[in-house]
Amino acid sequence: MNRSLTIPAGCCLFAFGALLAALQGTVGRETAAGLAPLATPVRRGDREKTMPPTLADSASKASEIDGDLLLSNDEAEQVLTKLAGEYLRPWRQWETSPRHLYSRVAPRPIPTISAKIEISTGVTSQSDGFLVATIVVSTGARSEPVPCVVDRVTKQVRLFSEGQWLSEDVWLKKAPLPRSTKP
Amino acid sequence: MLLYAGLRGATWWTALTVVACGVVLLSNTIYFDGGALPRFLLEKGTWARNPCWLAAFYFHVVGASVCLAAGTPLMFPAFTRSHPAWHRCLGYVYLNTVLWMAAPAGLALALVAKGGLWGTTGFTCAGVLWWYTTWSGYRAIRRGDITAHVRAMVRSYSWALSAPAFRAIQVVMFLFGLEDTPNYIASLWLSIAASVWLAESFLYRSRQTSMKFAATPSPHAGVVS
Repeated sequence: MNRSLTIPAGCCLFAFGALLAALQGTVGRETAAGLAPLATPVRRGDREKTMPPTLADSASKASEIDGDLLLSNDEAEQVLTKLAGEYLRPWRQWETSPRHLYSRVAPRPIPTISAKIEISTGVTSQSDGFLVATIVVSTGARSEPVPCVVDRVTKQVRLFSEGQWLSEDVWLKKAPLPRSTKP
Repeated sequence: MLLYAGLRGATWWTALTVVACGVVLLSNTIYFDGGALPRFLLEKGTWARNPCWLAAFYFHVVGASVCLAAGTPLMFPAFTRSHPAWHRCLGYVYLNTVLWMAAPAGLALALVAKGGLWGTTGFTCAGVLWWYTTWSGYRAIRRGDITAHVRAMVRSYSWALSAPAFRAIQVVMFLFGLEDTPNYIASLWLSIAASVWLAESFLYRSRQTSMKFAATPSPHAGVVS
């Protein structure tokens, strides 16, 4: 191979590496900023061991806070509804974007995608400090549940996805997008 | 256009091909204009968040767009005769974007293509043959065999045209109500068949009519038989 091919090949390799590094850097920064590690030891009891540290702390703090300041079930549902809406926003944007008309899949109808919030009402799963809930994302006939925990003190939400607890921001960036078709 | 030489309605087919390439180039802008996330990426789920897959995807889209834009003028013999320097320049761009961008990135994407094994096999065949025919065309022109160069590059360009053909067939099948996944697989394989037919029918016509590209005909050199 002569230089007329090796130089462009090298440039393409460099460009690919740079693009990959840029994309990996973006994803890495987002992940590092928002991961909520679950394995941090918290020796306060079995229940708190299964929660992210911030939530475990909240459970103890909550008992010291006036009950009126804690997030009610309705307020928690509002927080989760807003979060689910944000998760589905890319699809909503695509639905309303005029650009979908010149997509090759324009003739194919966009499936109904919705999210439902289910807050667990079981006594054993709730405490003063947090609420256990599930966001159920439905695409056509398929449903994908996402377990989550809402901190009633700080209003933060932790979601369980791909074997780890994630903050809201990271989940929105990292969680698989709702699929409209089978793999 | 050389590809349709000797074919009935060649002017219309040429016009249709140029318009189809333009539409594909226009539709590819949705990946770069910063607007709503395109449906193709939305449907890729986890892969659309994987940096390696995304890098290969953008590399493929950019490379394939450049190939279509640079390759189309090369298929007009009048352009080649009147602007030989431009032919060489665009050919150089086409060659390098196929060899180092569009085809390798397409092969990487084929590993997780929609449609399962059928999809992966189809895209892999298309990617390998596109790369090989382009490489053959380059090798042929380096040794001065213009006939073999033309034959190989017609094959290469017809593989490039499988992208607009794929999209056009997909749209038609959606209009006929075919389900998404079977539609995708059928469109992919029909576009591959269309590419092979386009190139081979041209080469057959060129042999029948003794179409001469140069003084050194070499029907088997540098091309896939």
